[in-house]
Amino acid sequence: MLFPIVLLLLIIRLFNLQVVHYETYAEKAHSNRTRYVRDRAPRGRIIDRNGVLLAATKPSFSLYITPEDFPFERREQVFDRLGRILNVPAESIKKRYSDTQTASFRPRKITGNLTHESVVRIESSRYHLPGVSIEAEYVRSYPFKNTLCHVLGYVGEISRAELQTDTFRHYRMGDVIGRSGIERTMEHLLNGRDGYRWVEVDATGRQGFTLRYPEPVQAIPGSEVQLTINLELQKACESFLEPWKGSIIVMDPQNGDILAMASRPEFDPNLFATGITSADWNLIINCPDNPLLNRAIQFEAPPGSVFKAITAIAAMKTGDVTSNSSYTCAGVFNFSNNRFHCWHRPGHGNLNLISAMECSCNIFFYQAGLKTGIDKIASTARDFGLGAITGIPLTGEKPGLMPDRDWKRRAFNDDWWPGETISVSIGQGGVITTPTQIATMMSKIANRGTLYKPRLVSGYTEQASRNTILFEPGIKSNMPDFKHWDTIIDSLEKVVKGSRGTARRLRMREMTLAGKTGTAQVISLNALQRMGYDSEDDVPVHWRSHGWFAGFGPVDNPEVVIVVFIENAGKEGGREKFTIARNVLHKWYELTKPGYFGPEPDMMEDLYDN
Amino acid sequence: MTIRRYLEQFDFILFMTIMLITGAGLMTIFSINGDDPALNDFQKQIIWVGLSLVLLLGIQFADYHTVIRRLTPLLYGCVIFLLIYLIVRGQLESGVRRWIQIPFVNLRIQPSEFAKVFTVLMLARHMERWAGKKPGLMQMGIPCLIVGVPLVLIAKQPDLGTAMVLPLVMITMIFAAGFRVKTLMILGLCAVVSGFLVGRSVLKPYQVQRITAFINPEADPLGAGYQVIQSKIAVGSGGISGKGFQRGSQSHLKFLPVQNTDFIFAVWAEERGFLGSFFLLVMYGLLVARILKAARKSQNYFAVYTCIGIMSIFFSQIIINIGMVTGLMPVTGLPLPLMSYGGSGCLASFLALGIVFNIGIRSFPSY
Repeated sequence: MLFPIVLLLLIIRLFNLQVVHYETYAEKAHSNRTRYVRDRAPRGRIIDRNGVLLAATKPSFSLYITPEDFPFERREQVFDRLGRILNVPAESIKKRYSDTQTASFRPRKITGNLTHESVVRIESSRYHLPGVSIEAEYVRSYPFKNTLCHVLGYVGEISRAELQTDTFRHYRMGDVIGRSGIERTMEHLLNGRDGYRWVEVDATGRQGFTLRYPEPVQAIPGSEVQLTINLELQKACESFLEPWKGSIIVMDPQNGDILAMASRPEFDPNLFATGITSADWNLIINCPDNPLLNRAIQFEAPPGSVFKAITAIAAMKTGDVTSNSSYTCAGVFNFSNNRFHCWHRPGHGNLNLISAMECSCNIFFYQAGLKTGIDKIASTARDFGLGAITGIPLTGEKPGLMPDRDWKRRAFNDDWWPGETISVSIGQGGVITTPTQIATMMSKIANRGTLYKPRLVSGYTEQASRNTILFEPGIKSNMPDFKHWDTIIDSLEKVVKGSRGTARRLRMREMTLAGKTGTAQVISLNALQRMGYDSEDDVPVHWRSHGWFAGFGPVDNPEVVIVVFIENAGKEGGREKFTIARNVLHKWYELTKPGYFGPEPDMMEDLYDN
Repeated sequence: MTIRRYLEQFDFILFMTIMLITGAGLMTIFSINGDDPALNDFQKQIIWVGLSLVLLLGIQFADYHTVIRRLTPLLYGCVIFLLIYLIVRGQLESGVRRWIQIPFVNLRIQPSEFAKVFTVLMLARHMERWAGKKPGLMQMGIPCLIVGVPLVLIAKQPDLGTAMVLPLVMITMIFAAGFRVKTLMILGLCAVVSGFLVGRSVLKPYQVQRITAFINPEADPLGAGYQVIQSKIAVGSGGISGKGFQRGSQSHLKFLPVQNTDFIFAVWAEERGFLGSFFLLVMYGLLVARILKAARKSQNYFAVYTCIGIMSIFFSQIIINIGMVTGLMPVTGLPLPLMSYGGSGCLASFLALGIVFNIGIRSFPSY
């Protein structure tokens, strides 16, 4: 009859479900009851040399969609609804979803930094948003905003191309990586490793116990990175630099520690932490002053007269000039049909090396340079770190250029003209350096021979073990056989101490100081005159000369190197650089010498000098 | 002397079958309740099974032919009254009027469960008048009325699953009584036409949705198709030997809907596997076969039709329920007899089976 047939049919059906298709349904039951949960590893913090928090992480909410829980037929509906809640076009959400490739059980990140209101609205319409979930994550935050932005850098979401590379093989779409500065160079330390686990969930998505298999992996928080920067000094440097464009570097000449590295104008790295808006990005990228540029390492400018220290060392090293050698400056120097002027048209008279350095006489160094020759000057300059990257752990450092015979041959296929040596010996004629190179150069002079790799990161602390690993100062070269440090340092001290010293306005009661000023021409004086600019005040800002001061103190036992670089300083900035350097040194003194309560008023005449 | 003769005729195989199925049901309810000690479904069901057993045995003392047969119109009338009462004054609970609260005690009864049994008795009482002659079309009026009244009332609750059982039972009984081809064809046509009309006007949106979901469950996996998908996953993932007692993830993590009533078979199949569900189907097969055996040896038309009717109640519910759980039929919301949780269902099933035993022990083979 009918009855046994129907019964048999049911048994066949059950056999089909339970025996034939067991694997399929067992798998479905398993994926029903298990969820992949990612345990976020916070990005490592960045602190200054005194432990002040410079880059932190703060919690934020992100929107995810899990493909396997996202029913195909309802996608359009869900995209629309999310678009309305987040106030963005549904298309952009859809695009973001389909652009992200993950395994079907892995949630795909749609957007971060949800507002509290969006979170509430999404949570309350849960039923209409199958597969959509909200996860608490960390976002980068920089409590001091613009301060130190160029050194810290900023973070951004990893790109698809980067994901393909071997360096980022354990990263996932939607992860945040350092994009510039310390954030980028210390990425391997700062980035933690996310953990994951599988948890049992019930039909309402409530999470139960963690499954033992697949084995859970613990999140490893990123390491805490300690900088050599002194935040107080940094803040002071940035404020002293206002309103100029430029850079200030404060460095410890005994180990290469960078105590402060300011660059103006600056930006707020917080804007990048949650994905910069196109409005903000356009504002930054279209700003003519280029705030993203770290002028300390990315601005290449002629060192100007600061370079005379190198010419002097090269000349003394070769013996072409001794402390007794003297030349006469008549304000002009004729060399093969060309007239080379001293900045001081009346001339300086008879000078030896020390007095020539004091008043920064061009004529003396023209002749010293000619006698020494370009190759020796260039190799000395390289020994002092000029014309090459210093290796500071920051992104995008520029090498500058130290021209010589070989370079001329390679670049122009031409011979080196002795007239070019004349320009080079006073830091023009193709020599370009970054403020950081000048700082390492001055440090080498201060410590009598050791060229340090500038150190920005003193060490890091692994968060799980609390082990701290310290970085050693990096020594790049020594100069054991140079015997004339006293003469060089005396001459640089004379620049500040001497009555004709070009930096005499920097004389301080608190400590002895040695240094060298510099004015770097952006365009030759002849060219300016040809264009009809007679007075410096008429020259358009972008053709005004850059101002340099590089120095160290105390002279007997140098503890600090300072470099002030002012972009397009002109006459006014050329004066201002001394005030800035003085303020920075006072601040440094105040921060390092307990019981010091600031400078006494100094009575110095207001002089413009080279 | 008489007692001994009754005992000789008592169908112990049927009794054991009932006990095994009921036991499996209790085990399953216990398994589900294990998650939540606050739920005492298992304890309640134990009491219901106890009461039902008393009813089953107690009813043996009343001769079906004299007592039950005579009481039939009264019982039928009472249940129709309760069904009308439900429509008029019944409490709306989650969209349906299905239960009557008994005053002073914390008990609810579901008249539709008893309606099925009493309708069968009423039909049998009417059909015995045909005395074995093949019924003509003109004789269909009264059976249609007997079935039609409770059908409409139950469909109004609405309880489409239970209502669906009634015409199936009637057709089976008329089939058993013998039929003319013309009669059956016209009945079938009527069923199709009325089914279509009912489908157009009476079906609630959710019922239409259930039918669409049956045709293509993946169309709306979180909506109406959800129950079928989850139920199939539960059954399929049970495999050959099952996940083990209280180990069913589909049921214990609440992916499976209405687990202790409509989808109880899925819980059993998940935890006991194909071996368990095969065993249960064999038990149900045996149950039906033993009821038919009672029908075969009975000595009057009332007894035959009653047994056939009761057999078809069980049969149609088993097919519809397991068909639904395994995704062969649309979700109708029908309990699985003897397995599902519920006092009225349990009492009504045992009552029906009690009548079968009653018929069985009073049918002596002719010496």
